Amino acid sequence: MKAAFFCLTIWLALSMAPAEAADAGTVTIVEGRARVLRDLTWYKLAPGARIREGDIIEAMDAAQVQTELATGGSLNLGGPGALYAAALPLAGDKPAGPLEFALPAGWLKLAANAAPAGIRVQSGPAMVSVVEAIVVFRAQTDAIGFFVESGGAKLVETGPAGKGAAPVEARAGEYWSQAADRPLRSEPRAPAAFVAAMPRQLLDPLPVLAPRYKSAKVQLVAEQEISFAEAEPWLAGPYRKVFLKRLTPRLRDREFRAAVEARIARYPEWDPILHPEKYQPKVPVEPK
Amino acid sequence: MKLIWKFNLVLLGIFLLGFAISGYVSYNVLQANAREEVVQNARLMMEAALASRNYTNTQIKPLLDTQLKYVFLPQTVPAYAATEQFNDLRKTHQDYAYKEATLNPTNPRDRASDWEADVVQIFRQTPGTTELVGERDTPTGRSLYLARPIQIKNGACLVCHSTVEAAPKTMLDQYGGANGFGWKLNEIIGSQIVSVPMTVPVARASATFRTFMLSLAAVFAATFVLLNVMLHTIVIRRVTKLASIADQVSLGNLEAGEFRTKSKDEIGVLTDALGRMKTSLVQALKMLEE
Repeated sequence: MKAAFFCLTIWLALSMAPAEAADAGTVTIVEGRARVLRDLTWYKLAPGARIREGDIIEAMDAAQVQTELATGGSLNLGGPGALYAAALPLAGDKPAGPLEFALPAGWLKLAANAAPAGIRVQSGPAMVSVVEAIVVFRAQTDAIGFFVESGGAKLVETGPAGKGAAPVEARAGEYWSQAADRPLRSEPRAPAAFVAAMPRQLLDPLPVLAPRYKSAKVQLVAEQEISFAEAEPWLAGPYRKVFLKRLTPRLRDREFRAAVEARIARYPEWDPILHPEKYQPKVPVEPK
Repeated sequence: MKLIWKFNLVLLGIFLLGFAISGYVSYNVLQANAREEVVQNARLMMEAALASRNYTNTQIKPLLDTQLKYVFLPQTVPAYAATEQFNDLRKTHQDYAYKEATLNPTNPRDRASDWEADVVQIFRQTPGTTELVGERDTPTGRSLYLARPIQIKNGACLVCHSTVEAAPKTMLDQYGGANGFGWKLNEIIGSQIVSVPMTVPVARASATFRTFMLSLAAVFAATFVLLNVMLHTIVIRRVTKLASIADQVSLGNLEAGEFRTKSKDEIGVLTDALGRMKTSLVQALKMLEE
């Protein structure tokens, strides 16, 4: 009996160890309404919450959410906006490549300290890669503007207009912007309109607060599952394949399924799931 | 000339001489003290301005370094901080002034006026001079100024003031690229000047001087009157009486009166002696008659 109890204790300890190490980042500031999408469910965000790969952080209105990464670096998201952790290794894992985030909308201050792999941010028609730098992004529909506070960044145009274009080096003090209807351009300083619209907290260095939450265990409170309207922008974005696979279980939901059915032409990948009968091998009809 | 006149003349002479010497010495001491007080006030204000500069440079600016990359904040400039702090003080003390008078300033309000430029030139021509104190007339009265040179000892200053190309873009947005450049390391580019009004301390010193001299005059007058009363009562009146009796006796009038006194002072002794002399004289005359 004692041996069994001992074995159970050892098993529990071993099984809990990965859970402790399974954090990729910690949310250290939450001001205003903010939530995180994990798997298919939205959870209310609170300081101390752990962030993982695949999470989508959403800051409503003028909310701010700061995340400090286990591998080094911080991201401060200013609302209204969202940030998707596309590639985010767990603490202790060796990153296979650069950390990757997607910023479809909102403000983001990225303080990267992620040598040698670096961090890249996909936003609008551009992908910005940094290793050791501080960059402030403003993402709007089909437009991006970013200011390099310190260090340097590499910008690659990902939109149709920039296909095949060589990466551009952005140096400290430079402001770069690109829109779907406007070519890439740079300015030697942050434009007044950009600075005026910038959330106040992004003007200062990002505070380091992660040590406060080192031992904090924050239980996320579930709100609701992702709706089709919330999922649609992600299904239409550059991570379509990932989200099509991830959101497939939501097709069991009647409303979600109905919404997809109404636009099935846009989601041919889901047609075999929704209408398997159409894809079953045809049984030859024997002539009577 | 009567004894009282001689005495009064000498006393008055001494009093007047003492009054004049006291007046001269006290006036100069009070004025010198007033000026020294003004200089000390100016030094204290200069130190306060330096403390403000240092605080801004070491504690405020580092906090705002990131913001400076977006928009230029003059609040991070030590000279601006010191000037603004003083401007706040001037709301209640209008005659006091502090200026970082600069020959080629970034902020036009720091440009040296004619007399300030002269002060800067003195510092530039005599590099060892660390402080200048002077006085000048202003519309509100006489004013004392204390000046110290502003020398570029920290190469970090040249980031904003060497060339337009090297200057932060956000600063150029605010002040343009026409002024405040071309500064060199160790160059004296201006002067910190504190101006303190002299009117109030000088007026206070003059009031003190008047009070002192009036008090001194009152003491002199009281002493003069008292000495005269005492001289008249203790000496003049008794000596006059003695002289009158002695005069009558000398003329043969032995009934003129008695030399009597209860006093044991010198005049009392003299009275007793004259009394004995009269008695001896009367007895001698009686013996001659017999």
